[in-house]
Amino acid sequence: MPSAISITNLTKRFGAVTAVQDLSLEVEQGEVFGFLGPNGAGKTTTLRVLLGLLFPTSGTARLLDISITDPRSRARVGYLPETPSIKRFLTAEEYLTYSAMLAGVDGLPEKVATLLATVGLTDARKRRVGEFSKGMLQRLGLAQALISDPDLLILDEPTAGLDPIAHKEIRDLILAQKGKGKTVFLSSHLLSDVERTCDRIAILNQGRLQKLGRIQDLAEVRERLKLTVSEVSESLLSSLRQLSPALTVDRNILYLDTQGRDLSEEVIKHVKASGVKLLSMEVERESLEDLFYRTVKEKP
Amino acid sequence: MKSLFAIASNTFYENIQNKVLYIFLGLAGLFLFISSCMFSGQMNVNGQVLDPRQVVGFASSVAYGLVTFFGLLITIMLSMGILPGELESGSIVFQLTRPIGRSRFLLGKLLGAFYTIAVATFALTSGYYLLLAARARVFYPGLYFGWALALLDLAVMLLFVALFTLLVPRVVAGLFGFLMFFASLIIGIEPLKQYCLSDQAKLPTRAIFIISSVFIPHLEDLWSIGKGLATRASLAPLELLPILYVALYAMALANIALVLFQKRDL
Repeated sequence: MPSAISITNLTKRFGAVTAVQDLSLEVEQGEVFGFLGPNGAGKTTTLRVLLGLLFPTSGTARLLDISITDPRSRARVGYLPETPSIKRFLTAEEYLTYSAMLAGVDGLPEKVATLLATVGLTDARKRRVGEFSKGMLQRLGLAQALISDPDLLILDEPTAGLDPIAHKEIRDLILAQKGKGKTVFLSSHLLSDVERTCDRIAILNQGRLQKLGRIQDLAEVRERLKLTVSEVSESLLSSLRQLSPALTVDRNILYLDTQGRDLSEEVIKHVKASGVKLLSMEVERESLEDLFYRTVKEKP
Repeated sequence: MKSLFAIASNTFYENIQNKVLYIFLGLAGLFLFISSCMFSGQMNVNGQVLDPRQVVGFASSVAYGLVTFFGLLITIMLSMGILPGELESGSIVFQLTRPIGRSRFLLGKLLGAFYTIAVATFALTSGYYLLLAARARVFYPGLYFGWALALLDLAVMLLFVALFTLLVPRVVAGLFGFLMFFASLIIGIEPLKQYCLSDQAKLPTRAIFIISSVFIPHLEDLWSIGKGLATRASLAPLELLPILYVALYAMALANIALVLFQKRDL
């Protein structure tokens, strides 16, 4: 099966400024792919090149196996930009109908009604977009991205500036698309969303690709065990300190510095002996946030 | 085709939300109404009573002038916003990230704007036709022939200004449009034309005039033909040549605009 997105040696310069330098990556069909980077890393530039709004200085790219130079590459693609800018005089219904006509979609009235219901805007369908809140605009933007039932969704900061309820609803929508086998290419600063939804990530910094892969493969393994116990007792703490003096406590979660040793079996014995229930034990890995900070601090 | 129609009708719908359009239409309507009051079934000039046909001739030429003038204002106003409006607001993103080429998008925008201009000027022409019919009791469709030709003038202006908005800020493009229109009227002034092409004119003057005549469309010629059509409803064979020239000029402008828009980072 061809890749959903295939980028080969993509470079984009604006005069003397190189926004994207020699970027190559593949996004497989059916995966949720996180595209991360600090501000000015080149993420939005890359998205705009893929969607034909900007022309690459060099390199090539394909969407669903069609070159980005062909407008048909966008036939099965839905895009939600960071700041949806929609003509204010249109109603939600009119706007989605217009989007559908541009996308060449049939069965307009039913499709529009279904989508408005999906994003929770049925009651606002006759209201002008100029009266919408930010959250409503974002939902409408997502609706237009879904109008052609795309195989590839490209989302640029889809949950930015939303309240927690809207945030969760958008995230659930993304996961629902994944459940249908769609590919989602997600550019986001909200690392918690990326951690919860993405199969793989890429981290861009100063126009260059710095990391690519699964979060669990990229994150460094820490020399720490994370224990979740039913209760913390002095006897448990003193017995664990015999294994390693570097022990920190956060309510019922204990962090034990192993200094590279395999202490799992001994920890289990000590916890059992203290009469406390061990709810979970895992080797602590770097969080996505830590990985992100470490990556962008490295020289590109 | 569906997408082209969608873009054109959306552009028309957007244009009719523009309050400035109604200000221009209101002013045009006011001037047309005032001018219609000057004409009645019984008019005399220099002691000579004019027959109804002559009355209509006068009235039609006044109406043609007003419709083309306000049509020009409306055209320049709309064409200044066709692309800059989309680019500045960012609404172009949603549209061009669909499976439509840039040429189709631009064509749709231009068609939508042209349709708005045609409807607005048709409304003015029809309003005047009815006023004239009511006052002078003459029903003369020649105005509509003149209107049709005026649309070609306005189409050129639309393309010219829209093209320039790809190169310069929109206000500058609008000013260029006005300058170009008045320059095209000036180069059509017969005594000036004769002087510039005669041996009396210095070589630089003749060269500038010839170059201007090539690059500036002869809208004055078209304007005169249109005015003539508005008053007599027939075309002499040689009058087709300026129409053809302006039509070719419009096609060249459209092609240049398409090429520039295709290559532009958005």
